[in-house]
Amino acid sequence: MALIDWKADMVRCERCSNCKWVPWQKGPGLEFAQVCPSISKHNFHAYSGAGRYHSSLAYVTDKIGYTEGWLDIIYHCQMCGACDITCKTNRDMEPQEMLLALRAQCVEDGQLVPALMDVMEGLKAEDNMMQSKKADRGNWAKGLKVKDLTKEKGEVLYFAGCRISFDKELQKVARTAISVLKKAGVDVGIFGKEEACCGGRSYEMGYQGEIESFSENNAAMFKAAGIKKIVVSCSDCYHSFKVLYHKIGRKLDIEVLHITEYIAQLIKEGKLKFSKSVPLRVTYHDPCHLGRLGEDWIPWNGVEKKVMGQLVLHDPPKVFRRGKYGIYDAPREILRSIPGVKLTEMKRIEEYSFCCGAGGGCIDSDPDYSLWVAKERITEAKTTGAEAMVTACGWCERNFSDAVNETGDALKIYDIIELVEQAI
Amino acid sequence: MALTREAYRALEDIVGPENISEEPANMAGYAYVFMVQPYMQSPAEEYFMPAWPEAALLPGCTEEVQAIQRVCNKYGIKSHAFGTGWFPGSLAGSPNTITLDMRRMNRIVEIDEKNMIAVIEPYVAVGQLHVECIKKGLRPHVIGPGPTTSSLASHAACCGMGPSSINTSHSSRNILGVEWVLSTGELLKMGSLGQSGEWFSADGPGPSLRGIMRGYMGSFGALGTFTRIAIKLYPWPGPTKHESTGRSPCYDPIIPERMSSYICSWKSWDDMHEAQYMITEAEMTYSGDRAVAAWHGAMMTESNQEFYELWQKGILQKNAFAFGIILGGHSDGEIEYQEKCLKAILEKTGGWIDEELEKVPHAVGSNYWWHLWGGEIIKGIFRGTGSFFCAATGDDTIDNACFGSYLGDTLMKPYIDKGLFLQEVHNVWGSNLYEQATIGSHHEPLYQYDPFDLESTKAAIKLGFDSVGAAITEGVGLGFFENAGEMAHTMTSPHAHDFHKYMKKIKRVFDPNTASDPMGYCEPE
Repeated sequence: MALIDWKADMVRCERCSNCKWVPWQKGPGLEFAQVCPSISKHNFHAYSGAGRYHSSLAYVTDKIGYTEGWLDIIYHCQMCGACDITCKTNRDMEPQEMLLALRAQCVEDGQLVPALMDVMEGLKAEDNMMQSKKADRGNWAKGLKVKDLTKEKGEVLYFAGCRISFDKELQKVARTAISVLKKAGVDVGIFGKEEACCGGRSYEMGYQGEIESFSENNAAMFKAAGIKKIVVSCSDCYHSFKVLYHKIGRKLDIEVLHITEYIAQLIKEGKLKFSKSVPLRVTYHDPCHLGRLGEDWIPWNGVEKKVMGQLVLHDPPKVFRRGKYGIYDAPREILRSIPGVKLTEMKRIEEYSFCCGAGGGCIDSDPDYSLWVAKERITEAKTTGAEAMVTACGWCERNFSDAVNETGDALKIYDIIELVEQAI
Repeated sequence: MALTREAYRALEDIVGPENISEEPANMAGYAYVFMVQPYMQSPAEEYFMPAWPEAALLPGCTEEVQAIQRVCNKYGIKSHAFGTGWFPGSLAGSPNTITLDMRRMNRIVEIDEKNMIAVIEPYVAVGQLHVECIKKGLRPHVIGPGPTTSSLASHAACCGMGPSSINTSHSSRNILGVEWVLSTGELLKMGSLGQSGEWFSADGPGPSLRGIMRGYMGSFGALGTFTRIAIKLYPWPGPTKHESTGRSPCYDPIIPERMSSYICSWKSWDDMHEAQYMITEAEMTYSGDRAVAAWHGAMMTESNQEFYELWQKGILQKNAFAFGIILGGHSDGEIEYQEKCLKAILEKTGGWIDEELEKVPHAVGSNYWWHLWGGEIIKGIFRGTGSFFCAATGDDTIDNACFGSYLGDTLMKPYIDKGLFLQEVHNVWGSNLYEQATIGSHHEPLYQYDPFDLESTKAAIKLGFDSVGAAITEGVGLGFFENAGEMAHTMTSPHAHDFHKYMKKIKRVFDPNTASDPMGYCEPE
């Protein structure tokens, strides 16, 4: 839907500000009560979900035009979905969809951010979001004995994603995932250097056309290799394959699993057993695209209707994605099952988790802001007494690691698969 | 009229470049809130406030607010403080005004456990304060707009009734020491704060200006900016932490031991009113408030669709004359007494607690959240259509509230019959009872309109205007929404001892250069 199609939501946003806060029923006090990174940093109302509704209303009614300040508001957003879910604890509205439409409108109108244009050029030329050479994409797997699914058929694909494939410090995540899956007896394969971007991050940056070609290409590769199950460590990829592909009408006829879901399943089936203790106090960070944004896409094609005079309904009835069915339990089940690991929760968790800061292109367009958000989260993590923060997304791990390196904090940052490996 | 560069630089020097903005997209955020058109009597097609702020500033301390105010006086600018912003009275209402977004002043300065006082800054939300207070066995007065809103704003500057009023009264009764930056930039420390630096009283031994500062309705920032206040706290009967189960969108509370949540029903208005008087006289409830079928139905459901399906079952209509209650005892004996008392009142007045209604998922839980701190209000009155306004609101006795609600119902009916408002909710009125309901029964005959629907909005605007006249003719009293601001005051003042003339004198004396935006209050004499 185009930006103008969300005008009703813009007008009906009453400005309650719940989009700024952890749901009140969860009892946020003074500390860590804010859920939106953007308003937390910038403070002016326009940097919140409601504020962007109101500024967008001003834009679609020609009260304002494009300015540097308006673009600053639009692009200083992680697209993390926190406002979307906290709004939808109360309202039948779609803030995230409006924000996506707003960015798409900017791109359509040529209102671009130079840093993101560079990323997009890299994507178009090299099929990745890291401004790296496509030829190097498979380097992470060098020396691994793993099936090449571009040359032979297989049912389980491990999809590394751009960040983990190219980020040398994170390549261990993919290597460990392969190792763990093989230990569980999974006949897993990869695409290596032929793997291409999922298209999800560009979609959230406003370049919604790119995902069309990437989804088409990926779907063709999956089919050609006979894939029945895709396993990902990257939450962005998970969101793309499971949610965005479905949303754009290219639902994959393949099971999409995040590595945490698969590992939890393998543990339950007795195929993975932990024999070593990992004595560590940890806290778990819910990646946005695995958690609140990770629930299934629910297609709806209908119209708004009124009953009882002015009660707004939808025909056919619309089911809203409210973050209830994100992947929250599997990573926690894994952590609780690892001997020695003691999990202590932060205040902002699950559907009202605080973003790592890397989303929405912010890690590229304003790294300082992105790191500020990560540091906020690290401060929260430290209050739990944890020695380590565990996450389940390469983008989160990258941003937290950079933040910790900058602040000199002793907090360790792990992908969950690393602890699994240590316990086997 | 944009700020002169000289004035802008003077303001920027005070708060720093990152805390001031003239960006139009930013200003849009400070020019929009629900009910703008009926409140301002502005055209239905115009979604925003008629005047946008020239700039928005984020002051970080009282000294900065004072300095800003001096600049306003020097350069002929007006300021308007903005707490959490959930009311048109928070917004700039006239040209050449700057908005002071108080978001950075968000500290709980002190919770004085022994003297049961909290000292707070403007951006401490009601919900935050509640959570911090219960850690110490105390609780604040809460207001109807709910946990997201500024506790300071309601106490010092804007109305202030809510579901707990039956126990904690009205915001105006709960305010103690006040730190007030006058429109001139001078700092006034009101009450005991001015005399001894202690926060315990709003009425001396230092100067008491509580009536001038806020009166009943509040000055909405038209007499300056309140930077810190002290408020009374009350004993909290529950544990030190709120706990809940479930995930978005409905979180069910774990109702504490020695607390209960009930929706009580009667067969008629008269029976319910009789019970309400008894309940207030018994002084045994933690919180109590009218349970309007449509609101509570919306609160206990996850979506409009689910609400509509619940409505079709008729359970809500069967409980049309209902009153929600939380009981809270500090001992087993106290809660036992409260339960017996409620049971006796129900027996005497023919009331009941509907088992079928209680079985609706989230019914008991949403009633608890609402009464705890105004929670779930957004589901209750905004999810359905997006906005609301009121006809013939008032604060007086329960009998007056009853009369006002009948009047509101009569005024709304032609519009409801035409499908312009949410239907099936007539006889809607919120009723926050306070001070034994002898002077305090707040009622809001509320109509939910769709601000995206031009005809619905036009109807809301017209009824908003007509209801002021009707309230005057019928003697319902001075209302909440529809009686704020210059136009409504001018209409109602001649029928109420010309109060408006006194307000204008106050405005002139306290704000000689009109350096505070008169929005929601009045122009100077």
